[in-house]
Amino acid sequence: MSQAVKKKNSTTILDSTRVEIRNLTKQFGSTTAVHNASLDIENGEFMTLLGPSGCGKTTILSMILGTLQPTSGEITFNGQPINKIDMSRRDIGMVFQNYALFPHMTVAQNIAFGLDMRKVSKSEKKKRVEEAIEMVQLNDLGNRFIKDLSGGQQQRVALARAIVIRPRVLLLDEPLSNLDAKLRKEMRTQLKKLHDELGITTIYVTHDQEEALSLSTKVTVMSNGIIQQIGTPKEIFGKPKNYFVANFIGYGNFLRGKLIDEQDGQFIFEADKDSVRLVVNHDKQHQVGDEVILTIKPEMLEIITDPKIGMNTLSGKITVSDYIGSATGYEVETKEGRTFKVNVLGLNPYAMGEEVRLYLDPAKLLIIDEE
Amino acid sequence: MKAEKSFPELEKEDGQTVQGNINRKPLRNSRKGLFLQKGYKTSSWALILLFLTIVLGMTIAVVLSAFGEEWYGTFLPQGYTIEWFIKAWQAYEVGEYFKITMGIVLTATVISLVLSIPTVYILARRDFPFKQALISFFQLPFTLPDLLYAIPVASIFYSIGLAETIPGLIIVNLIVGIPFSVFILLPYMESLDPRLEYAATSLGATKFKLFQRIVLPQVVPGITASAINIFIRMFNTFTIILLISGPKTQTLNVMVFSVLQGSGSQPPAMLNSLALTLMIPLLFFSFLSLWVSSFTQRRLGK
Amino acid sequence: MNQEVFAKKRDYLLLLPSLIPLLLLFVYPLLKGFVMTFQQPETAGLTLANYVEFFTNSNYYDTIWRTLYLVVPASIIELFIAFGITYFIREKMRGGGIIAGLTIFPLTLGSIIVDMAVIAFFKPTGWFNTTLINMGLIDEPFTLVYNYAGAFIALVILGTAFIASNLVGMMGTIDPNLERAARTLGASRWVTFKRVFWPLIRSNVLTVFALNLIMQIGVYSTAVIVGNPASETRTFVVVAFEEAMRNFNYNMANTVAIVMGITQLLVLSIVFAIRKRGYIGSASTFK
Ligand SMILES: Nc1ncnc2c1ncn2[C@@H]1O[C@H](COP(=O)(O)OP(=O)(O)O)[C@@H](O)[C@H]1O
Ligand SMILES: [Mg+2]
Repeated sequence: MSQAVKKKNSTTILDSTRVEIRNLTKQFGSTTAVHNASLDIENGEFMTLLGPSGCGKTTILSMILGTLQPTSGEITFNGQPINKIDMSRRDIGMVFQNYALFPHMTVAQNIAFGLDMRKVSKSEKKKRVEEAIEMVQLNDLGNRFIKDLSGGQQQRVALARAIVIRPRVLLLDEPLSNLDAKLRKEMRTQLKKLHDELGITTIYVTHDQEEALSLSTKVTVMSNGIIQQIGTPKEIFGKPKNYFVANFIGYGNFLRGKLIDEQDGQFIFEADKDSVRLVVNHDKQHQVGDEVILTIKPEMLEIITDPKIGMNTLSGKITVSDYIGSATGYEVETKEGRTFKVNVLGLNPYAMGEEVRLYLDPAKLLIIDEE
Repeated sequence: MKAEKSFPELEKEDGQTVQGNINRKPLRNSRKGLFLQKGYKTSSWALILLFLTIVLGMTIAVVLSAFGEEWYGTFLPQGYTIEWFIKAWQAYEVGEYFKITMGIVLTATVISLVLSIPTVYILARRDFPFKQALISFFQLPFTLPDLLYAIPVASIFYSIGLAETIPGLIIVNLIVGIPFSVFILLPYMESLDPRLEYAATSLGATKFKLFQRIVLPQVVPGITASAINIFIRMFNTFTIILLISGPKTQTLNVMVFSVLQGSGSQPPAMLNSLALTLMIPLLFFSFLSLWVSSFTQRRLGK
Repeated sequence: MNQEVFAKKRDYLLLLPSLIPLLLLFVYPLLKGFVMTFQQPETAGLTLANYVEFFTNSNYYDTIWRTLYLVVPASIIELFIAFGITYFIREKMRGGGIIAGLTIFPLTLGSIIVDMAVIAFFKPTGWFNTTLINMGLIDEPFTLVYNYAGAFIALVILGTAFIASNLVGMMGTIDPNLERAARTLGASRWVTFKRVFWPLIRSNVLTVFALNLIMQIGVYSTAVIVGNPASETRTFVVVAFEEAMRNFNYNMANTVAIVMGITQLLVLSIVFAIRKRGYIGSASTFK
């Protein structure tokens, strides 16, 4: 315990930087990797860029870092435009996807590199390198060469090298994607702790929604170079704005259609394809006449046996059953020819081909837009 | 960067350092860096332009000279002609030497392949002591300076009467041909599926068709590609051929070199034309490899 | 069982078709050539006379300096040009491919055509001199062919092409993220080069440099065609060929060849001694 307190005292919580991105666009020839992106990252915030591979996350990071010049748009640190500042002068800590550790240097030399560039005095350098090594728990490995480290250890060195310079902004490009599942979880907790301690404005790139959820104070979801939604993890996962976001974070079931009527604070929804009618709670953002999509998570769908509930039920039969540890994933094909994904906790006794009824709770159905 | 050192740490009463609200100094570029970068870029471009101008200039100059009617004192030749090529071709019997060269190199390629394939097979499929040393030994002839063995070989060949004969020229090509075949066939042979052999041996002669359909298509492309490489390698053999060549028994490049070495009186246009005939093999091989790749692709139905 | 072992042993006979010709055509001459340097034509018995002759007669021992004087400065310049060009275009740059292609292009022409091209371009009435004269920079043309300068230029062009052809691939193996990492940590371009790029590529560069140097020590056709083989560019091989083909003194010819081989070996060990003093290993550690 006293150890922990001592550590806290010796660590400096840094003043940090507010990053603003305005109308940022990057084109490679005819392909647009990033399209008109605007983002604010507050002082000390942990922002995650979430999106599938190839959606432009690394490109945004590279423009902040300075390895790529934006085609148009602006990036500012605390109000100062940095587009024209050379990358060596931006004071950014970066953890590369492949770590990019210097193979001809030891762990300590790698970590000290940025301090050398800043002409930090010898004693100060020694102190800060030791501090960083301790912070990422690499004690006693300072004199090893990089090739003698495991993947997880390399990852820590990369992190230490980035934070030891006390950067204005810390950028991490899928830092955990090359670790095995167990190590990934462990590093995640460490990263979170580190951010809590240091308070550096952090931009974190991942395609893993679980990482985004557990680490971030704010999440930005991207697809095809376009920002789809910005919000707290809770907002993103509880209220996805559109089809892409909902689909990406795991809402498996979608019905396209129209809100045709309103009664008792509830909408009546009619599907385009088969005129299925469903009742859904009013969400204050849509009104009668809107073309919308209804969506519900597989774990929110219920398989019922009670024949009394008639509203918002669809009958069908089980076509796929897949036991995945704590839950069973079913696919149910309805009479209308739709397929619904349903997750049921535990190993439930529904057989293949069994006739069941699905209940779509009006409170759990979500109204979203196509775009 | 100075901001780092004078970085303020505000201490709260409880001893914990907290976020300092004082902003750091604004970011600035280094003037010196920008200046150096400009200088570096400019000098690099100057270097590139200078070198490429010379490379292109001399290439164009030699080509224009070979195709020029008369070129003296003016920036460009007076007119263009292929007269010099025809003259050079006839005066030095280029066609004849090309044929001789092809004959020698082709024969030497086939012999090299036949002699080295069994060895490559053993090296690829068996493990034995000193195997690595043997492989290194096979690389010696084309890593050692060729003069070291060429002179004694010439002396031996002159004393036993093999010098200045076509068989002699074919034999000396094997000195590089065999090790080079081993060198390039070995990785290929190692990559082949060993099951092919079982298939091939268990099939027997009666199932020749199957052999032709399954084994051959897998082996032929690699061997062909290797053969072309060996062929090119030997086409450029120079030192040893020069040492044992006779007036009528030499290869194209040795003949061209001998002419260029000893003739101050010939018109430069004709000499340049002669030198450029050395491009014939280059063109020949480009077409050959194109043809072979399209042929094998068609044969294999890919 | 015995049968099988026997069959396996017999398999190794398959090594013979390639080994026997090599023993006869390569190993035997190599050894015989070595012995020949201790013999005189027409006489039996071993003697050091050839080596004594080589190191006392300036006609012979000058070839060492002449060769090195021609080849060492040329290969250093080649290294600088080739490295400068390939380093500049190493990251995807518009026109980079064309520049690399043109730099390497002389290799496909081969030594003899390059020699003739150097003559056509640098001769007194060639484009190089006439351009300089027309610009008013010089009054009299430079004499740049059939002498040291001519051989030097031809060597530089071929050697640059050779080194560049190797460097292009080597530079591709160095992860650009390493340089980016150094830069984001505050290093200038020069410091990044000095502390990251160069240490990683150094050992490979020195290897190519040594290879090229060794190749150029064996320079022959260039020395004969664009150089002045009678004096300034009288290299090892020129003298060896003269002894073998004009004087039919194979003993002396091979003595020259052996001295050349030793020189190459010395050069190689010097370069490798330098190489050993830096980082030798992979440029990537990513697992
Ligand atoms: N240097 C480049 N040249 C051309 N296209 C590029 C380049 N870098 C990235 N792209 C393209 O931009 C898009 C976004 O890439 P990236 O930002 O790397 O995606 P990710 O979200 O996986 O990090 C991709 O379609 C990619 O092909
Ligand atoms: Mg990426």
